[in-house]
Amino acid sequence: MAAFDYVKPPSLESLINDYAQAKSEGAILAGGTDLLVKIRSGLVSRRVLFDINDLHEMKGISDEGDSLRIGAATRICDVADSNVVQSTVPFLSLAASQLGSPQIRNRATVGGNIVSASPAADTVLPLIAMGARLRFGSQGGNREVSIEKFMEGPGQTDIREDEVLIGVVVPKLSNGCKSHFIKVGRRKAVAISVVNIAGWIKTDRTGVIEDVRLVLGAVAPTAIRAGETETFLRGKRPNEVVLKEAARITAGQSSPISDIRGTQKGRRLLVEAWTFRLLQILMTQNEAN
Amino acid sequence: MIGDFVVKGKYVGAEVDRVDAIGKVTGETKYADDLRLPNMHYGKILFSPYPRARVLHIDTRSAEALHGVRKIITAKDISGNNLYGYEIHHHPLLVGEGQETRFVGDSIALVVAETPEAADQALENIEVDYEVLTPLTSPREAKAEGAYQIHPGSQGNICCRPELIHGDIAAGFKNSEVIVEHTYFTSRQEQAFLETESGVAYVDDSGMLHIFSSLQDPYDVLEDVCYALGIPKSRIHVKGTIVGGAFGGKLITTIEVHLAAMVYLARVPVKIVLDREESFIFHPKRHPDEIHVKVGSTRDGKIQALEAEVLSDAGPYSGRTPEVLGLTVSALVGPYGIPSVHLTGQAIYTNNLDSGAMRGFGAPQAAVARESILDKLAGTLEMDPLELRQKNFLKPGQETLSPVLGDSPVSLELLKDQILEKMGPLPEVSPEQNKRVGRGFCFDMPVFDVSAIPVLGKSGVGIAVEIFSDASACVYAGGTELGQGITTVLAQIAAEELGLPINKVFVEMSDTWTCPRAGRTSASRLTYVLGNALLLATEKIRNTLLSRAAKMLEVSKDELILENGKIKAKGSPSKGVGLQEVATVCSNEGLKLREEGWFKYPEDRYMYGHTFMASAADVVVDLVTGEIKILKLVNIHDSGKVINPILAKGQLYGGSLQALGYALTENLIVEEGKLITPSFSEYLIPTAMDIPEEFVADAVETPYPTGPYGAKGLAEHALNSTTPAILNAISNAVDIDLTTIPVYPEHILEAIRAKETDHQ
Amino acid sequence: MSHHNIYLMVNGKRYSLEVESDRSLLDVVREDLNLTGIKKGCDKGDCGACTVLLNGKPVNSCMVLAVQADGKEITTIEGVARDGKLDPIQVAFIKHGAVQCGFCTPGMILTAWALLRENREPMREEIQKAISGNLCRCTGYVQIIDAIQSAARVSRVNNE
Repeated sequence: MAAFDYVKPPSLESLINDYAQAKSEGAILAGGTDLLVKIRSGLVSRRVLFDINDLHEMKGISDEGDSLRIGAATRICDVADSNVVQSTVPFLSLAASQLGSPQIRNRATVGGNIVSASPAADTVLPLIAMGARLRFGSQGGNREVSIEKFMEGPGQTDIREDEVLIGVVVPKLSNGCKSHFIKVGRRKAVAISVVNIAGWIKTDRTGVIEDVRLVLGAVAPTAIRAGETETFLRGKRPNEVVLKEAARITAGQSSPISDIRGTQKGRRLLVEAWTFRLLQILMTQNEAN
Repeated sequence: MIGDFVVKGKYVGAEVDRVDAIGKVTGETKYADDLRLPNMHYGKILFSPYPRARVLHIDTRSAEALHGVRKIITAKDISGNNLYGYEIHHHPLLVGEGQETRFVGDSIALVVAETPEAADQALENIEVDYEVLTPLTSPREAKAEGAYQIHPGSQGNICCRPELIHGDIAAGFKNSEVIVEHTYFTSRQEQAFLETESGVAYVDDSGMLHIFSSLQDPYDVLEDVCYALGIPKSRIHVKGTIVGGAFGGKLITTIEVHLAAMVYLARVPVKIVLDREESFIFHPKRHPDEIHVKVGSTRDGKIQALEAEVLSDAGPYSGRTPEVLGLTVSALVGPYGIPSVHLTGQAIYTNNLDSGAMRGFGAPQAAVARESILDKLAGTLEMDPLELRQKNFLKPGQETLSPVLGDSPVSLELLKDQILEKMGPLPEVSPEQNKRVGRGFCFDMPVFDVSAIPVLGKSGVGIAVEIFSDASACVYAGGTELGQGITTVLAQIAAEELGLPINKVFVEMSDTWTCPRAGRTSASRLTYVLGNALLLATEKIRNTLLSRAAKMLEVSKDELILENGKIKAKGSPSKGVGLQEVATVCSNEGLKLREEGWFKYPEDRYMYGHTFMASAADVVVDLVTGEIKILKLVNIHDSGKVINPILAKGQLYGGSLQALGYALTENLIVEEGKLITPSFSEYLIPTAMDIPEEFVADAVETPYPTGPYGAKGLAEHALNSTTPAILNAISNAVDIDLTTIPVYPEHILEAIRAKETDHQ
Repeated sequence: MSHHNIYLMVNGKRYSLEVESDRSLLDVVREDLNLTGIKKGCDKGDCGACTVLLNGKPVNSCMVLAVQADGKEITTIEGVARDGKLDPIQVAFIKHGAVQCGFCTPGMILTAWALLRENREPMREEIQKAISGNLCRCTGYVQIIDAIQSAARVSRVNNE
């Protein structure tokens, strides 16, 4: 492993200052499950790592009325097990509970899952579907940006050199919304997603879809909203034909690549198949709240 | 069916705890990487970054100058042959200047340093100029006319070309009313043992080289070290440590020749531990095969002819390929009686990763092709696949075509009855769920090595047993404990035979200094060959003890029995003497209490014994998503007498899950000769979540006349038979042909769509 | 590379040591504390062979820097048996044939141990999920799951 220094800043303020000073030679160390692998394999090289694990400003889940605030250093297992997440953004907890292995979930953090910017990152999908906003701190002050805008490509984000992700603000699902997350892996646990899908849906009393969000992972340079599908579904009364058509439209919006986990053609088939299944589940699910 | 020579002893046949379990559950067991020697240095290997390149120049000066670096070794430092390899010594220890690399696991230089970090730094500082050459990465391309020869003189890059002919194949097809044929593609499978290749070595004051490493065959390592480095065999001691899984991947010498070169040239003790990526690149995998198979049958399902061609990717070195492909070819016949057979195989050298032994040893590939084409034939005949198999089962007394020992009672009918009973009725799903259930079968005739003649000349398989004056005993067995439980099996047999409590029996394994030669730990052979050798050795010791006790007790030796640490007269239980007392007397009188047993099969040819195996799977396939769920998986074997039922079940479950991975998840991808799935996050072996909902393992025990207590070998079985059972179940559920493994859900969706398009 | 003075509470025993910033907890426990029961299977967080309990939770020790564990409680396989007496999980692993090559066993047992502390009566599926990060290539997991279920029963009886 390439050698690096380790610093554990005593406060958020000193983290921000030290990190800014280190410029591109510094990295934030949270769970380490992604960063340390990359450092060891030589993909990433940094002179100094700043450990944020004990910074209380960056940890924990707080209920702020219409939204939840989740610290960047909050562990994935805590999101998966959190009662408030389960009851207000259930598909986020579902996604968290399927990320990596139990050992990984006990270390990995929400912030890490976001800033590593993998197109297959499981928690990012429900966060996009909820229109979550990311809060950054820097010497220049705080900045908020929507997670959808933040993601630019595989490993590419809009983050600035001196910025630290402090947390994420996640709007709660409104009453009557139903949500779901599906992970398609090559095995039933500890698998990087070949395709993942998150969505929520809101229907009116007559069963007509008022609003819907559908986010696809691992089939484009970043996780993407299936906007055409959303438009198509709004105002429709879902039946099998409608859902099939929605699934077909969704597959068309994906632009997967072929890699070790799947081919382009195979991924399109999976997107279509699992979108249909996800919508089916959403339509038949009991109301989450 | 149980013959009177099969006993249910106190230990044999009982659910005895593993004798090596306590160290393993407490963490006290020392694996190779847990060993530490005074002044131990760390060895690292510089591997070729290119599958094929000419090494023009190696500059080690800056690496040598680094702090903490003890020695850098290149080909010109090696005074021996600098070559090793099983049977054919064409694997270079180090590829030198002017020579070509043959794959990305070839070694260019060795580093010995004080710390792993210094060794890593040195690797980076070795400068090598390569002339990068175009590799041969497909067997078709490599065997084409004009392709360069990976080994000079290997015409068409042919590694081997086995053939099995029986009867008149032309007549067989002529007599056939229905002929089906198809091509199947099997993937490269990684053994994925959890303990990577590792070892420590040192030279002692007397000049003896000691190697402690994770291996399957200490004798073969000794041969390789001698040949490659020119060290006399009498100066080499190899001890196999407790192995953290091998599955064939450690069957040929792994890092031991490298380690020996480092120790000899750097003159310090050295440890090598490969990292996971190095391990994936370094050891040979299961051969990826393309198998074209054609079968002819009468309309009522009597198979008349079987023809097949296997094209196998040998990788860069011969290794075990000739044996593996030989078994693939003969296993294509399986447990069936077929009057005419023409089977050929070609293994072709390529610059891909190396191919060699993996659990099943070529038979799993054959079983995929054989059992898939049988289901296809059944479909064409509109016959129940099980009925088709049953009609063609090998009959008792019928001669087998592969070079096997023809004295094994055939129990296929019994296995079929048992598996049907265990499977029960096919589960139902309601049609509106868009799911289909299917059931698949596979019957197999896994072989086990009874002779080991290619390894040992004609010497047979040896074991030694010593009983000490305190009535404790030690077995010295040259096999290796890989996790399969052979240590326990031998302890059970020795305790049974010597009338000792099992905690007084110790088993030392895999040591060329203390154990007589026993050959490799593979081919499901150890229970049979070492068990038989052990019976011969214990018989001699029993004789000594009983003869001496007969004098002490003044009765005839024939009246004495040995049990619970006592020698007693059969009729009068009061008349007896403690074993310890007898052993002490024997010891004081200089009677021989260490005996060797040598088991050798009467025929001097390479030979297998055969066992029988049946697997069945119920799956449910989601027509919308292609998702496959395995509802039930049943494996039943007949490997003769089961010495330890818990261990036997473990072999079935473990082999079966490896086969499930082979069918559904495992895919080692090599592109342009380079491995692009070098980790456990890319090469996916099944987790605890991936096991079937209901997983059953059981045995039918038909005693084997020549086996110890009637036992045969058991280890590889379920790997052969599970994959086809799963594939056939999926095919059966959704009525599609599967030709390539692993099968992914989208393949099923594609096939379903293609079928729908055809129908429209 | 920075050096750090840290202390670790390992299996109830306090160790003070100086570590370099880039060393993993796995390497420090194996090399410096000579507790070699935990195994290095991949060094990338993929296999679970290096599982230790960090403040009671299973983690891959290859993915934790030793310096990050400063002041924390660590349980390794060596800390599972108490006063020379095997834990019911260890006994059950032996009785049920849950051990083959043994390389995954220490991590598997620690994960199971943590599970049974949180859940005294786990269903089979809960056990499967809990151990899904501990790869085993030998056993097919069945006997491991059996052993954990059986150990849970024994522990419940012992505690009643």
